[in-house]
Amino acid sequence: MEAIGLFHVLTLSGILFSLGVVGVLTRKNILIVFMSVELMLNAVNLSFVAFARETGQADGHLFSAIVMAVAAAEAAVGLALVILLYRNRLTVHLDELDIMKG
Amino acid sequence: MTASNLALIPALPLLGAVINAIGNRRFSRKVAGTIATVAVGLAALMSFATLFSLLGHHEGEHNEIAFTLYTWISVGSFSADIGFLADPLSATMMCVITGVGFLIHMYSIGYMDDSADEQSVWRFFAYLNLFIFSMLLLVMGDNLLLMFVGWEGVGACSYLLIGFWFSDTANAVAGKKAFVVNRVGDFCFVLAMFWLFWALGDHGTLSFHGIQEALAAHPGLVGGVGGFAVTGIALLFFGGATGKSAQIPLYVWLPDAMAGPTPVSALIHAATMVTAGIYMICRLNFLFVMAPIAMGTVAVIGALTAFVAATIALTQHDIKKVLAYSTVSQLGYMMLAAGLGAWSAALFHVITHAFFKALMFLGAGSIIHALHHEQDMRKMGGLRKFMPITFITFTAAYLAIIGFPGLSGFFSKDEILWLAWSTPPEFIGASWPLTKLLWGIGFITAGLTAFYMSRLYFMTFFGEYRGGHDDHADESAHSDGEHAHHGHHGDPHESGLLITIPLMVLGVASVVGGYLNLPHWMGAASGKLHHFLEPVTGASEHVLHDIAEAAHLHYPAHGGLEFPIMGITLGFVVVAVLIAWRFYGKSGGSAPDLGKLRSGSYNKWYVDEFYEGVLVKPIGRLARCVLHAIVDVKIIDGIVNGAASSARGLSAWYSRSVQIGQVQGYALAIAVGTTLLVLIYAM
Repeated sequence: MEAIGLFHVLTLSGILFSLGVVGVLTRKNILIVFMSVELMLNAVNLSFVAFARETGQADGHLFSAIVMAVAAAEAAVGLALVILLYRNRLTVHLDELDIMKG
Repeated sequence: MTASNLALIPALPLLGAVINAIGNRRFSRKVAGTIATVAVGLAALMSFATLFSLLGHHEGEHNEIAFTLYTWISVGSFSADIGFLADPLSATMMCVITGVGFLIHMYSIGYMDDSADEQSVWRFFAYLNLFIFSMLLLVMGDNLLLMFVGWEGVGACSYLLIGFWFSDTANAVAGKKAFVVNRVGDFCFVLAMFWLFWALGDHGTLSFHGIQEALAAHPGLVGGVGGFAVTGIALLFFGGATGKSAQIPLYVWLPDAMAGPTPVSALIHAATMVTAGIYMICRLNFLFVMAPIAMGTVAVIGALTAFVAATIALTQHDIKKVLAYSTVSQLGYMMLAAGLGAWSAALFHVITHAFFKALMFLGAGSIIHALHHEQDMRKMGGLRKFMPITFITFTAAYLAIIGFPGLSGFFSKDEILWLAWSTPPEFIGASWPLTKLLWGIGFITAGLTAFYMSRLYFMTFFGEYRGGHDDHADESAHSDGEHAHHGHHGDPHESGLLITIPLMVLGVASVVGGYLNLPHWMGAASGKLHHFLEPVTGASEHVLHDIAEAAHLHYPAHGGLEFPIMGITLGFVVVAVLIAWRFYGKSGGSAPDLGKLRSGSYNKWYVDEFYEGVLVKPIGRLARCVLHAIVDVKIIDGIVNGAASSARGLSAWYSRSVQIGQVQGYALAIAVGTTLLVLIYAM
């Protein structure tokens, strides 16, 4: 049994990212979609950290910190938008939000 | 006079125009007029300096000053310079243009004093200066292309000045007519340039010296003497000249051009611009001499124009219209001379005509100014009492144009008539005595000229003043404020010094101008201009001499017929003057009733109506019904609109279906796209 290495971590990161993508593409509740986006971001964070550990450089740590800060801000703005959306349309169901249809 | 100063001569009027354009409305009439007049005056001084330095050259030297500012166009083996050339021909023209131009600028300061024009008078002077600049470019350019720039420039200035009072639609229409008719001629000029350049092949150039050398060295390139190419080129150049110099069939714009202010008529439509065509033919004499048929065409058209225009002038009532047709007629004489290979005689008549016709227009302007824009001769009469200076100077011009012995017009016109009589018809490609016929036309025209000029002269200055006092009642009603300073309206009054000084100077010039080129029988003093022009026309005259020698003719003929012919002409002129005195000498004199002939002449032989019906209307219909309705609307608009509507159709079919409005649809597209990109780069 070999030790847990870069390969394993990246595989996990890929799985998490794919789950996030599937969630974004298929779930109809905007809050779930939102959570799936967060999942994708954290999957990326995981790969950053894994590379940082592998190469012994601080860049990856630094970058994942930035991603977390941006994600926090994005979550704040995104949730505010969701609340506004609900107030105006009384729904958070994505299928019903199609006024941009050409 | 150094060569580089040559560029200053056209630059000065250009500078004047620019200053006036910048000064704009801030400049009053006096300021704008002074700037313009000084600019042209300085150019005139430098032109005369150039002329005198050419006169001072010694026999046999290369008698010209040339200066190349820079190379304008250089493409392959072709190049055209902004280059100026002052040889005897162009220097003479430069002096006429700037000299007469200076006097007319000065006159304009006095003439344009209508308070309604005060806001726009700067524009007038800027255009006048721009005109002098273009005209100088036309005569000084050392190649055809630069000449063409000036040629178009004077056309544009003419258009702008004819329509100077554009708020009156008739004036704007007259300007447009002049521009459009000129355009027909200009098109011929362009075609001629193309053809000439193309025919010269490897020796292709547009500089005058270059063309002359190429034609002398390789006459075969244009088909040799009488060849098809050279004849076609010369005819096309002449086509250009018929536009600018108002010859049949394109003369119709000039009488309408009288809509412009009178100084403009004097400067542009009598003294300078309209002689551009004659100048061009004189400049290209080496080309025309190779095409006898083209020369014959020039001479015949010139003689016919002289005659037809004179017949129309007989019955016009508008004083400026008479002068306009007279100008067309005199230009015909010049063309006749140019076509007969008598280039110096043509230029001589250009000069004397510039003096006396400018003087007549300025005199007419002085009258019109005094009578508050009255141009109908039936309402004039007896003006010699009110306007003595205008009367005396006009008399000088009148005697000059009818050919009173000793005055300028006598010498120049007589020379043309004698040359028409004595030139062998072989020069113009005819085997029968065509030149005698041309002389006959010119002879009759001389009588007609004497008649219509006497009519004008008697109707305006003799008899009783027919202005009438009733007119003043309604005139003072609408111009009370403007002309209040004139005091009593009753009588016309002499114009101010700014107007009379140019009249007097031109009066002197009209009297003595003939001494520039006295006929050969006057002995040592004779033929000065002819001799001076020899560097330009000498080679072509040699060609003509060779033709004459080959046919065993004596040319120039100095037979004993010269005096009898002069005598006959003079006698005819005297008879014409007496007939005019019989009909118009006394106030209210009635015109002879000639029925249809009279109304035909008065209506200009219906040429305008003919052009309207045969050319303007059908072309207008073609433009509306075919070019607009089919080509423009259906084809061109169809392509543009078709492109737009097919794009719309495409987007309806494809692009709209992509815009599903579902956020997750877009996200799917992004995901698939990204994946594909990654896959492509990974492979």
